[in-house]
Amino acid sequence: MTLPWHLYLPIAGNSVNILLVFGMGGIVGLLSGIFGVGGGFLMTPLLIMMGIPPTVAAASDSNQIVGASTAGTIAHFRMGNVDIKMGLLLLVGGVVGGTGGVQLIKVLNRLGSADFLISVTYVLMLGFIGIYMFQESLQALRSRHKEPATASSSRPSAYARIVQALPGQMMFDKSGVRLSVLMPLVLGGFVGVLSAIMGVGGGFIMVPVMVYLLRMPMHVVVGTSLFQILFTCVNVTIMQAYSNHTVDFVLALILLLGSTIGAQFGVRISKKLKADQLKILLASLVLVVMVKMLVDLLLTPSILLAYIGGH
Amino acid sequence: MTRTTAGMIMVLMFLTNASLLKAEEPLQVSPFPDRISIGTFYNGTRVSISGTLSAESDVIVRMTGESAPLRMKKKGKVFGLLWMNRDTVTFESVPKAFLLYTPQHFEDSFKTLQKDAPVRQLGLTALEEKITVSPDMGGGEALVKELLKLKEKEGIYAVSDTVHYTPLAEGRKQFEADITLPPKLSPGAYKVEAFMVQNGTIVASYDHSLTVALESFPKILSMLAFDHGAIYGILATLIAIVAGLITGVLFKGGKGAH
Repeated sequence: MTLPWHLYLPIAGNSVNILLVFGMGGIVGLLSGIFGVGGGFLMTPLLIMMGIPPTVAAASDSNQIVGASTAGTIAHFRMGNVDIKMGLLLLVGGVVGGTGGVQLIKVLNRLGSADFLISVTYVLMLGFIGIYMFQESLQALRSRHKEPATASSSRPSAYARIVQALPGQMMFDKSGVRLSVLMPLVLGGFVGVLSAIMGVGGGFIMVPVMVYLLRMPMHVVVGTSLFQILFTCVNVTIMQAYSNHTVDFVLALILLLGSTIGAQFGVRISKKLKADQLKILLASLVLVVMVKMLVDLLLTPSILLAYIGGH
Repeated sequence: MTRTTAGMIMVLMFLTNASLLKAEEPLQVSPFPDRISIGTFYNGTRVSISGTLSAESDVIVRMTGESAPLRMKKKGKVFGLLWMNRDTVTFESVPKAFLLYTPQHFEDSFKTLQKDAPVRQLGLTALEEKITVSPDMGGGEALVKELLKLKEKEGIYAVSDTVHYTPLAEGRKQFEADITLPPKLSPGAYKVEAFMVQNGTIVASYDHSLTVALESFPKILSMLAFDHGAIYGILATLIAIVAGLITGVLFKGGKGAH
């Protein structure tokens, strides 16, 4: 085949089929648009399966997320859905966590364990999210004809009592919650570490964190999450480029174009389809990716050697 | 006889001898490129090598990269369950590439040769014996086999029987082979060799230096990424933000994947 459909990626040290990468970005974007979840957690494993070294796949995906979350953040900001105070605190935590995560990857690269850590983190996170989503949508399908679940009891839980006892309480007007400054700082840091390790914006971890642990209203959650993810990924991309030289921005750009276009079609499709059934399908897809990665960890590898540092 | 005539006879004799020498040269190889560029659309490439040799002989073509030590991780089981990278091992004298081309069925005659026959030293088996592993934890030979398997999977090491012959007049034949450079070939200095072989002995040889280098966009990108990491990172994020803004405007600020 003589058509120049292949592009050489000097950072990954290999060539890729442009249409394949663009199509992959498009499919992940389509799923993201249909289901309203981020596609980062699917993108990195797919890139690894394509032969991109895991460290390059994760770092380039962070770069892709920078572009993808820019448009979303601006749109939500215009609608007043961004809690800037909360976002900035999460961001400070995220920057510290992201920087720590990049340094962790650097140390593990030297030890040759970075790729293993990325794989294990993926298996755990995909497994957890896949099972959670599967159960949630199954329950939603079953309870369709039943009464909606009653609100939780008014007695504060042990978690709420601990949160209230923490020092540095502050009012977050936009979200309508009163919390310790430490909460967004620590939780932002936790998501930042995962972000650097997995090369994802952390949206699929950040959203449940904001809803269940920070008790923020849903419409503010999405905007604030995107705002925070944008900056976390800017930091992760610059740090990875500076410390590990693993960012391939050409790869990121092709993925970005594919995912943005795919997401637009996804949003249109989602309006015509039944949400719960689709959610179960997505959960199954997430679990399939997780099982594939788990099998790779469990079965004897075809070659018992690996390059140090993902190259 | 004048001095001028004597001089002319000398020149004529020299030219005749030179042309005779050239005609008798047992292995002749056509001009081969000195440089291969890895450009924007590089996806591996093929370089043809051809020449002539005496009809009773065979030719072996080989392309090798510089040899260097290679540090790798040996995979082992953790908790007796999960496979992960464990001990670091260093392989000595690992060439960057090893591509060997033989005529068809040459492998059979290869096997009948004595182990120390010079021709056998050209093949992958000899390379396998040359590569050593440190620290010596036992099982070094098996590890070298794994290394060769990995390199063969990447297309960086290969043995193929694709040298073709075309008969020529005066007891000569033409040979031709396509050297397949894989997409994963790293930039650097390489050597292309051709060996004329008769009864297990190398009768004549040819060698040529080949440079594989990044060109145009990959070269600029690689220089930026490896020599100016911070600037590259900032540029990468800025371009992503601009691309995000443009696609956002084009699609009226729809939801981006996050």
